[in-house]
Amino acid sequence: MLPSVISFMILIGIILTVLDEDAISHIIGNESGVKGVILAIIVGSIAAIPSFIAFPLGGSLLEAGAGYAQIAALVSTLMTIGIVSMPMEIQYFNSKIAWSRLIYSLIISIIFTIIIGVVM
Amino acid sequence: MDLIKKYKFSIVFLILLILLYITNNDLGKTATIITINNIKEMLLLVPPIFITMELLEVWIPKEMLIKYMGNGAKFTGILIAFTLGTVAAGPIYVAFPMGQLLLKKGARLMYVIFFLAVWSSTKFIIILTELASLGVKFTVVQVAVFLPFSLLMSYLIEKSVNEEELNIIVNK
Repeated sequence: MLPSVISFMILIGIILTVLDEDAISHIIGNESGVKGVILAIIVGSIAAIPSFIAFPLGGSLLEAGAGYAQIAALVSTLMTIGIVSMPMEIQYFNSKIAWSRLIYSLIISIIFTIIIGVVM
Repeated sequence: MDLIKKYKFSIVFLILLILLYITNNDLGKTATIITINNIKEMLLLVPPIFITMELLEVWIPKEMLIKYMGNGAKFTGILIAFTLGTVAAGPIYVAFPMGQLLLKKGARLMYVIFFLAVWSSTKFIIILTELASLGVKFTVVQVAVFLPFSLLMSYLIEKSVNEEELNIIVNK
């Protein structure tokens, strides 16, 4: 367990520094449209920001003018997709389960994003 | 040599961190501080969780877990998986060893996958944060979409994993 935990911690340190709140606000800011949604999904899948920070961040991005759909894509992938924690998931379960969970979570996040885009 | 192999990712990321520090002093410093803080947080979080797991291991008889979360459990299995996932605190990587332990104790794979999904998407404390930051409508839609689809995902993943693959995980 220790090797994967240490690499995971260093990776999160690097990612959180490079993809900080300012960078995220910039990427999915005003009028980013479908491109913004796709970028939000990519950022949300890679970044490892804890949920209790992700939601307030989403709230402040909304106030800054981001769209509900982009925020939905960002927070849902932040919550359910963790590319950096995949090595640990594979270690405890297996690669089939880890990859299936990633793909299904991505599909569910997209469905959620579309519904939010329609109803909000 | 084995040691290097085991820690290959740690070494690669450590080199990345050093490169970041050389090219951009400030970013490198911030990344190092975040890394150290995360390791500290984990060191505080992991012991209580492992103690809880040890207690579960000793206190909860296998027969009981099989009865309520095993193959024939149906609704109680879903309910317990949901409860375990929603009351939890902490990042998802803490849930992996717990999920594995449940499997070893005879829980059905579908319920364990659902437990992981609830842990990441419908944790009670997180839902409160979501309500406060993004509003009632957003939160209701999120829960209404993620719960049923997560259950469907758990069922589909369980169907795709055969007995042999499951045995490898249980015997890890």
